[in-house]
Amino acid sequence: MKRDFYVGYLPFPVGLKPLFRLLIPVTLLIALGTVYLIAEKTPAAGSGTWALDTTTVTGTIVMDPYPMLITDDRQDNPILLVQLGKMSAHDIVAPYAGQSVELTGFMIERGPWQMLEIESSESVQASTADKLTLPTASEPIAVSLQGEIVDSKCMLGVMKPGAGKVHRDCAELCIMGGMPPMLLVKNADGDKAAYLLVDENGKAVGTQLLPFIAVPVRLSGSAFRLGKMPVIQVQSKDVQALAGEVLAAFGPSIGLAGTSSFCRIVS
Amino acid sequence: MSHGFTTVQWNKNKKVYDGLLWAGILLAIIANVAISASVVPTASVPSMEILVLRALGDTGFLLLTLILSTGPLARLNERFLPLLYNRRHMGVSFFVIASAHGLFALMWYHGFGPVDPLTSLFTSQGSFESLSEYRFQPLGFFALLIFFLMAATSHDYWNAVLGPGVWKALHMLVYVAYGLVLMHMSLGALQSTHSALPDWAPFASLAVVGGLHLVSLVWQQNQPDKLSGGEWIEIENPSAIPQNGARVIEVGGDERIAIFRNENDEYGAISNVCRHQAGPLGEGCMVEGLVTCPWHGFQYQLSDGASPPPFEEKVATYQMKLLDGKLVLNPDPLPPGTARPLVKPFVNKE
Ligand code: HEM
Ligand code: FES
Repeated sequence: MKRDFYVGYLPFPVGLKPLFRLLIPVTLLIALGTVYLIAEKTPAAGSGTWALDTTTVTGTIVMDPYPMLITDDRQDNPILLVQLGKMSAHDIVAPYAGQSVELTGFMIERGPWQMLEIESSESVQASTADKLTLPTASEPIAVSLQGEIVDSKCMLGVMKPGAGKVHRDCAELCIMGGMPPMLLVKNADGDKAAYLLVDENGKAVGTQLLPFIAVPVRLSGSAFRLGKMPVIQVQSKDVQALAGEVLAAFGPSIGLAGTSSFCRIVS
Repeated sequence: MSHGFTTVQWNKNKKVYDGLLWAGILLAIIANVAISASVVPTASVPSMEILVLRALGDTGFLLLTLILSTGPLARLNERFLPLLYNRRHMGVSFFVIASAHGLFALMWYHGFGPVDPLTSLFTSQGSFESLSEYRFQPLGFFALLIFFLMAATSHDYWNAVLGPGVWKALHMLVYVAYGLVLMHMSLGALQSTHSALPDWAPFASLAVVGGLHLVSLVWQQNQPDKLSGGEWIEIENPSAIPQNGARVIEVGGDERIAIFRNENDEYGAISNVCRHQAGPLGEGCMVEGLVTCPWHGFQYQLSDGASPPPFEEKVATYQMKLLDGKLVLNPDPLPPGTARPLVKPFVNKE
């Protein structure tokens, strides 16, 4: 009997052709079937958006707790300001603190939150518009919440998804770069809310929360509203990593009377 | 025809193989991205960069599973040999896909920040002690490093420079890298509620790859006749060896000898280990009078174990003779390339 012995540099043995005519499509089908099973349960990544075109907005720069722009439309809900990449806009806008400016950048938006990503000092023009002031803060109340600390830029639309374990290193770089951290919580109904995190003096928290980013945490602090913007004052000693928990399976958001009046992220 | 094996390079089989391979790869990536994007509401579709980086990782993982399965498959049934012949191309293609995945991840998750991407990869939070906080990305990096070494030394030039022993050892590291990839998946994407990778994926791969290796190992254990060696040993029932085929016997601990029968019913014994990448010569075939390795087609003359000129590969040969009408073999190897008479134990074809 002639053996159908395949030698790479000789013509393909005729006897093997039927097998391979079957094997190739079958392998391809198995591969595509597996791809389907791997991809079909892709979870939704939130409704955040990151504009491809620039927008120009006029308003007043405030630097504390984070660089923000107060505009006519959003006097009670300022626009957070960040730079391209994983960097704070602090150095770009600091010379304009308290002044009226025109900013050009890419809008990042999720639910009631807005953030503008600016490129360089050329994105800022002085303006003669009236100066606006930050709304006064509401009376703080003590809260204790379970959730995940995320970086606001990725969370609000630049990275989808912008939370969870695989995103941890990225979130860390953003926080190191000065991006405002947020606490993301989810209540029993699955509603998500986000709080801007500041230090005990109401200033930028800096890098003290780095060890707690992108892991489930219980966080205690005092919560207040800056206009409509929900903020929690926190110190790293009051944050506890919840070891062994499934990542991002938040507990109920508790202890905050009238959570519903706080900013909500519609997911 | 014997020059076919070093003037390598492009032949029709390879072109067809590569064409099919890359069509499959591109189809798998595109289908993955398209399916992922279509199963969620438009507003909540993950970033395209993330979908692509996941699809590259998934495709690499499937390819790796396939690559590791071809070895034992071809061992078990020579009809699968065409898969093996160009495995190097599949390996290098896999490396391209896996590197693209790694580079995307480095750029997207570690780039554009206050520290450079590689520093970030190795200095980020997390630990190597806690499973839930395990730093899964360096695992992928080390796997990729091994794949790089393999791809870089895949050419026969390196096989010659490093010597078959070192080369083989280096390429056995693929199993370490495979383990690292499975851990990279289990400790990374599988732990994230934001990623779709199903829990069973690494286990299914391990079951296929491990299962095939186990079956082929058992098969191989039962294959060769084990003989104690030292003196002349009898080769039983030589007529059962097919013309142009061989029987593999094992002497001493693990020395394997291929006893070939040529078209004229002459018998000759040579080492079973191909000088190229240690392919099993005895599972090969005699093509136009030359022993031809089943893996990449290197050829040897049965008369002296040497490749036909101008090639210089040589394998050890063994003496055989007829003793009381029985075919016997001396298990002490002769130096590679030594000629000795072939033996014709019977006159009539069975
Ligand atoms: C420098 C090396 C590597 C880095 C930095 C890296 C990084 C990552 C990251 C960040 C993810 C999560 C992606 C996401 O869910 O958004 C991931 C997932 C994955 N990686 Fe890697 N990786 C590397 C090497 C590898 C290699 C060599 C393989 C082998 C094929 C691999 C296979 C996978 C697979 C299969 C996934 C799961 C994708 C999914 O969720 O469907 N990775 N990797
Ligand atoms: S031809 Fe490659 S191992 Fe023999």
